[in-house]
Amino acid sequence: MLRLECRSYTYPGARVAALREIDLVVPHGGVVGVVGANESGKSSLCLVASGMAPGVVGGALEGRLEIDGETMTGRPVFEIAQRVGLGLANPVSQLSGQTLTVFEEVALGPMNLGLDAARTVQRVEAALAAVRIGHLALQPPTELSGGETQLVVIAGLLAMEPSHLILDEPTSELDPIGTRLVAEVLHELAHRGTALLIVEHRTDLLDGLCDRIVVMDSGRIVDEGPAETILGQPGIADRGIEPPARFRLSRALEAAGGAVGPGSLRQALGGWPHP
Amino acid sequence: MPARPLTDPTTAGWARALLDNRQFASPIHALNPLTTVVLGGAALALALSLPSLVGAIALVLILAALAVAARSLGRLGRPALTAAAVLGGLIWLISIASGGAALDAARHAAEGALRVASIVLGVGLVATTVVPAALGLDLERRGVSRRFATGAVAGLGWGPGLARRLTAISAAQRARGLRLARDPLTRLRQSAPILLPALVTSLGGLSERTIALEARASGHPGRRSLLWAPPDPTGERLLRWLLLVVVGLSLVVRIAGRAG
Amino acid sequence: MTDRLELDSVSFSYPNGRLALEGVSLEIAAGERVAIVGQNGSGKSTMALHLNGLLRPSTGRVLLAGADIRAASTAELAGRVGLLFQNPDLQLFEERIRSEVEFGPGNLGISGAHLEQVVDAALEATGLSANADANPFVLGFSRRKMVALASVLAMDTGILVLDEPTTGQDAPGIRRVEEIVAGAAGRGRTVIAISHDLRFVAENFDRIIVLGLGRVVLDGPPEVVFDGSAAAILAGSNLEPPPAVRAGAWFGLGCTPTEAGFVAAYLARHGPNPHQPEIPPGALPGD
Repeated sequence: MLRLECRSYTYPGARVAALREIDLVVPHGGVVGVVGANESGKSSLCLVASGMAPGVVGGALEGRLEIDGETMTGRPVFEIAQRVGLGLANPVSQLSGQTLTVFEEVALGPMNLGLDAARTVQRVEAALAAVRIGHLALQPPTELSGGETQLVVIAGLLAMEPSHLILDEPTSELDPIGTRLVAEVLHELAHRGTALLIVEHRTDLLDGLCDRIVVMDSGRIVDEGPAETILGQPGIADRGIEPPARFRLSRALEAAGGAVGPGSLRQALGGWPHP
Repeated sequence: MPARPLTDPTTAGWARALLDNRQFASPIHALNPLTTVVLGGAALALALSLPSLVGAIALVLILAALAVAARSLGRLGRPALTAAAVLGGLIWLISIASGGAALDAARHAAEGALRVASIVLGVGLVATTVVPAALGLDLERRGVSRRFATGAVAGLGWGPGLARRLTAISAAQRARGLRLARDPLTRLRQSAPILLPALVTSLGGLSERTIALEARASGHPGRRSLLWAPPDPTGERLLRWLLLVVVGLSLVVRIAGRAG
Repeated sequence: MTDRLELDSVSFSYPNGRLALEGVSLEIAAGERVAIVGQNGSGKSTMALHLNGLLRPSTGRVLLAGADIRAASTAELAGRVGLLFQNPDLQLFEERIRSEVEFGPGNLGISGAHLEQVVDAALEATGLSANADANPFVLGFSRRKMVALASVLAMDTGILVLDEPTTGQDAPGIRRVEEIVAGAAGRGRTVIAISHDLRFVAENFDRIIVLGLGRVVLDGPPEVVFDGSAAAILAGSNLEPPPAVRAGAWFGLGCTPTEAGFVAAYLARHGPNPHQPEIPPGALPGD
């Protein structure tokens, strides 16, 4: 279980705290979605919950990150990275630029950890299989589509064998095909029991994937609960969050005097993105 | 590039597959990267130290032949000729102006032109045939610290990326009505809209890449066990030593010639 | 003020030989709202770069107000065709948002009170009026995109070309872009948007051009492009119709590209039923 208790976090040189009064729990095997308007603190939450802040980014953290009861705050980043992985939105800027094939790109983590060749190969094969890109193993990582590149990044994180994976807007820079590719893999990972914390604007993607949703506003968690409940609340639109299509259409129909519930619309819309 | 089906999914199998997977555009590309770097370095040292005009001619011919073998003569020919013409012309002018005889001036100019052409060809050979990632692995295999090896890789890859970004930035600013001036002074004043975005985009990408690398334990100390490294045939090792000897001799002769 | 735009058999190959556009011919009248969609590699951005001369056709012509733009430089065309790039960081360099937004119109020779007016209007439209003195680089990516959009708007060009204007925006940001599109069209400007967001496209544009492998594959209003008969073509480009269309198809209501249209069509078919409980799945046609 990942637990972040954060009274405040302030970026280096900033006067105002980016996060306040955070108490976030991601249970083993749980899938938690994070929504909120831009600059509500979602990315800061990802950085702090993965140990990258203050570990790499610096800044002042009043609080503690704990994984399975062990305190992570203060440990070297490479130790924390073996318990929780962080993926960002732009797939290309996360490639190392130091490897000639996807296989080696994914192997970067285990190799950096000093694992011997046999164990490295084992982990890489498992990671490639988990995101279903075994057929791309010998391709140059720079010649793939956006979606495929993002999967390479995720595989690289999985090769570190973390118990939790944090993804900050994994599909925001992808085209529809890439989005579908990544969404399918996320469903697969959730199914296999990887704990996921996913920040997304596309609430349709979170709908049907997440158990719980956390709502952020101005650096604080302002609401949380079961995904269906949170996403179904009319109020989230006021917080700058677009409700999933089925709730939006259902509410529009209701306002005009019709009545088709979001449940039926889920069928009508085909349960995008077709897990 | 078609993905080859892996017939032997063991550790050794993957190592072999990663090695075999590499495709080379020419025999020069297939050389061990350190060999090519030593070649380029030797070309540089010899270009500066070879004592005679005959030596300079021979060097240029050898490097041109290598460039042909590497299929890079097309790309390297023009910069080499331009540098040669510019430096040769300058030397000739200075020679004549300081009262030298026309024949002497011509000889000095020719030597200078040939030497600088050799430098361009030598450095160009390295730039066009060495794959930075392969060089990094080769250095690491030899015991060079990973940070240094990674730095070498990053440094080599910087050029083309920056050129592409500058082109994109120039296009974006022209779309906002920026007219790139012809005279250098105005160009200088216009440097902010072109250079600042370049700086910011490279820094921005840097912070994301830093986080992504740290997420994969780039900060972990200690040596790594490499899956593969570019092969280093005995012949190439001998060649490298031979080059070092030749450069050494050339330097000795040059210094002795000066002293004597 | 706003020019007619024409592509006449435009083909374009990149220096490495890749054919990005093949025989594209189309006409965009003044004041049209056109969306260009297609998967990555279909030629969308390549086509956009032809509209202000950043790329020149290998064969064919690009015409503005009936005249070939071949002789005009991009800087000259910038006053008539404004292009918003996908990556705002390629453009931002000033320390204050206001200065950044002034750059474009400044290059066009606009100054003084007129300059202040267009800049203020652009800042207002993009919600940046309160931040006019802030440093763009301390803002998040989505707000930096708004700064770039403001700087293009301030140039007050007759034609606006927006490359992925909604990517990375949150819901309020998307609403703002939608208002900007409507506002520009209301003032007689031509708006051309490249977008992956088919909901944004269906709700805000009168005409959709689908590109596939460098060719025009579909060209028409949303009701035609998203109609069931075109489904195979869309699928071939890996494009999926927006939720309103899928819901309309499910309930057998014909093609309903907008959400308001879907609601209206549903009520027209089934009538208003304020006290009807949730209709269980399986009870409606198409279940």
